[in-house]
Amino acid sequence: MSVQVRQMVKSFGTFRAIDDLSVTFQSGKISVLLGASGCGKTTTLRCIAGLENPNGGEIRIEDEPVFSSARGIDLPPEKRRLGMVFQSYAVWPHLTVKGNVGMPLRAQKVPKEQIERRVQETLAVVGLSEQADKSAMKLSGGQQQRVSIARCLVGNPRLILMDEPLSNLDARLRVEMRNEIRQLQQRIGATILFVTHDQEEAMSLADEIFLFNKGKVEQQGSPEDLYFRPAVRYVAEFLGKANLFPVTLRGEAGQTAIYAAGSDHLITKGDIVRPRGDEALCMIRPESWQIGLAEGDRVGLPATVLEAVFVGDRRELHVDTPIGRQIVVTPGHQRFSAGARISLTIASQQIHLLPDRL
Amino acid sequence: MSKANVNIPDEIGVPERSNVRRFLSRRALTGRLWLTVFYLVLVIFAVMPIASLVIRGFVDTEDSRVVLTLNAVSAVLAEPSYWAAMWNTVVISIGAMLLATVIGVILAWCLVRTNVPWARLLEQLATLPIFIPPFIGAFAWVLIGAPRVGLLNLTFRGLGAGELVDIYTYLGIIWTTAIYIAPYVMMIVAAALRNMDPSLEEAAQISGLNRVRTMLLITLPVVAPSILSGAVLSFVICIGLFGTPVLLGMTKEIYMVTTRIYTELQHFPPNFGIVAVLAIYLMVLSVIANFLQGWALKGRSFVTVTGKGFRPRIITLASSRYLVAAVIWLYLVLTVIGPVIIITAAAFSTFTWSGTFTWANVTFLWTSEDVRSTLWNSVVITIIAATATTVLGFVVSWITVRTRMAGREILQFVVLLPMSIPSLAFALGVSFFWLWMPWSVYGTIWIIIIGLIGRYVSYAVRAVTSSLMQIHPELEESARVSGFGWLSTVGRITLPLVLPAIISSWVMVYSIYISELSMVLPLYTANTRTLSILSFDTWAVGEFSQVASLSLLQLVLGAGVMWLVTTFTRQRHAAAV
Repeated sequence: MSVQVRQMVKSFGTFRAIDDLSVTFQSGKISVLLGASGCGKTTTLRCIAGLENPNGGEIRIEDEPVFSSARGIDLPPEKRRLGMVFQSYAVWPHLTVKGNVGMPLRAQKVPKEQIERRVQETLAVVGLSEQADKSAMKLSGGQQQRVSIARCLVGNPRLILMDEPLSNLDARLRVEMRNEIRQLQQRIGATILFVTHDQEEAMSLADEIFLFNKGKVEQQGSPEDLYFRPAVRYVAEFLGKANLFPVTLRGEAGQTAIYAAGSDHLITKGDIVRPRGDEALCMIRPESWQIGLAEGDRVGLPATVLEAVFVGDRRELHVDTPIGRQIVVTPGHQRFSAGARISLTIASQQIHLLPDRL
Repeated sequence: MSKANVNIPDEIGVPERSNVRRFLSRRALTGRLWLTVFYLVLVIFAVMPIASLVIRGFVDTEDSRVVLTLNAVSAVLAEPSYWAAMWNTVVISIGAMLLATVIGVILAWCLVRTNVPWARLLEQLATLPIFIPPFIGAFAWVLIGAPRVGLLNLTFRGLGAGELVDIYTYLGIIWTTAIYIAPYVMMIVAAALRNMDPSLEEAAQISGLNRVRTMLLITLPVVAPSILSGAVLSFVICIGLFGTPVLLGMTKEIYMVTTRIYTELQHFPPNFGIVAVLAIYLMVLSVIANFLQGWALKGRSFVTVTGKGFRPRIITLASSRYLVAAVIWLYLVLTVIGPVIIITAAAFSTFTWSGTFTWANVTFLWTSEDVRSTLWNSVVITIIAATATTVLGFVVSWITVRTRMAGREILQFVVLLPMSIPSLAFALGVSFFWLWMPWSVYGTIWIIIIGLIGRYVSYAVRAVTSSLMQIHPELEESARVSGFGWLSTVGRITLPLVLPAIISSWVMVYSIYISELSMVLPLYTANTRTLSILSFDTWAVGEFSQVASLSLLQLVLGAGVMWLVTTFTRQRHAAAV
């Protein structure tokens, strides 16, 4: 049930939406396609659905080619046996809830009584049994989204595609639906490709995140991989906030000392996975910095608080250090005022080094 | 002071409060005064004709006393020929409605959902039949399909096939009516197809429905309310048509209610009671149609949340796209291109299809005194009426969209009321009303102008309103805050922004007025004949070649001026950008 995309290209006019993309989405997992708008994530999903025709390449679902430019295969969407949930819900306004959910079964020419039974079962799963005979237009946004999910599940599709399904819902409902989708997936073990531009949604939902940029996948991996071990600068900056600065590495493997480039400021020392060469880009997440208050403390980086922004559960400090500006996040109850002198230290495990040039 | 600001209800004194009230009521009062004046004008223009018509059907003068009576109603109900006319109106209108809806839906679907070549251009061309006045379209089809002398029959006879076509039949009237009103259905349905959320169809395909089933089970039902609106609109237009049934129906005595009204008006003295009852019948029919539509659409407004702006998937036809294009071109040939060529040919012939050419019918256009005077009347009436209609339309939509004045909903209702009243019935009401009034408006061009404004001001209101709604009120509010009064705000901000809509609404009513026949018919006198009346009279005496040249003149005045104005304003628009 895995989905394999090989050397896929898709252009709109002169704009290359997908640029020689090769990627495999694992079966039985939630794969989240994440990226800024125009990065090619939705286009990739629509190509897999058959709603968009790639200019070249190959797409296989469970090893069955559904598109292949080399072999001249292009299965229409209705033959690909998928389920899809759209951003606009795409609930058919002229039908009842039952009529909407039963449509995929009608398309498969399933006998009437069976349709009735399976529709009822699926509606029970999404919690809409009460609304079965209502006109779809009479439902709220969240209920319409459930109809759309039920319609997608009812035909037992081998693959479920979700195109920003939660972005039209309000914030509270979004979190609720996100958890429901997660639980549903764990119950039925479906393969889900989920497109979103919301990084929080991506991290809380994904087994594996595919971060798209300019029609390519910049990095794929578990949410923690991408957050703590970004492969390139773009990923580090896209997910959350990151302090990035060039460093020089000295010493042996196993006992590497990290100095800020062009200075003698020792950042930290320890057993660190180093990229090739002695130059690297160091990434430190704002919450990883430890704050020491003692002035004149020889250990750590001396810093001056420029600005302390209170955001409720946390406080964001913008500090000036000899190696440049840093962002430091502390719990909200710790008070700092502008001009305060502090020192920053970091544990070696909290440091991530990227190759210098990326 | 600051305490007073915080706690207004407790701290403000009584004199201060009444001050506030007086200030507010003064502003509201001027507003209300203006609205009342305005409201009265519109009531006289738009509502009184309808009221007069209804009253006229139920009153009569006995010994110079006005009495309430059902005489006219029972006279109409007792006469089989009136029943026949009512029956014909229903049958022909339903027939034309069905045919127009089929043509319109097919055109819309092909133009919006297939990769037919030059779709944009074709769609614009396919709206052209609307601008052919019914009288002229019907006249062209007389030249094409009349028995013996029609072009088609001449051809068929030449081939030894005999007389195959007769336009003077029910089918002929239905056909000619339907092909000219089909673009209304097309425009409404095309807009619905464009506005439909494309993911509705995509979801259907993902669900396993193929193209044909997607169209039948999803697309058509979703746009069904629009198809119904288009159908009802064609029905309402059709029951009020005069030009087509008079040209095609009278020869074989297929009378519709409109043509029956016309023949009643030819009697001397005309029985106005009977005329009024017949017109009321048309009104009732139109109201029933609109009511049925409202009932069928109850709770079925399919407005959907749209997602990303992906274009609807266009159905890629292979070489059959050229076939589809050819069918659309055939439609244009039958409605616009063919008729214009045929009318032109007829205008240059000594008599229809004689094969002998002459300039006489064309030189007649500038030698005849009749043409000169009716042309002058037409142009004066059209320009005054179109300008007044547009100004009134702008003011009404500004009041309804932009102000919170009390009674503005009633204003809108008043204006929209005549929209579903057939022109001939409305014009009769206008004549009844002004005959009762002490001022001698009847017999001047002003009664025609007043009638046209009352009947069509709703068109201008709609055009301007839709444009005004798209302009955010904050654009005006920021001008007010910057120190402009409301009048200069309207002048400097609102008017320039809605100017394109104002121009297009002027052009639209202009093109209606310049060739309007059924509105003018009950209102003209010997001195106030218009070009359309002249063509009609010329047709009545059988001078077909002169009718052809007069039709050409009307087409040039209508379509030509429209084209000039739109090109000119578009260039200006382009220059401004």
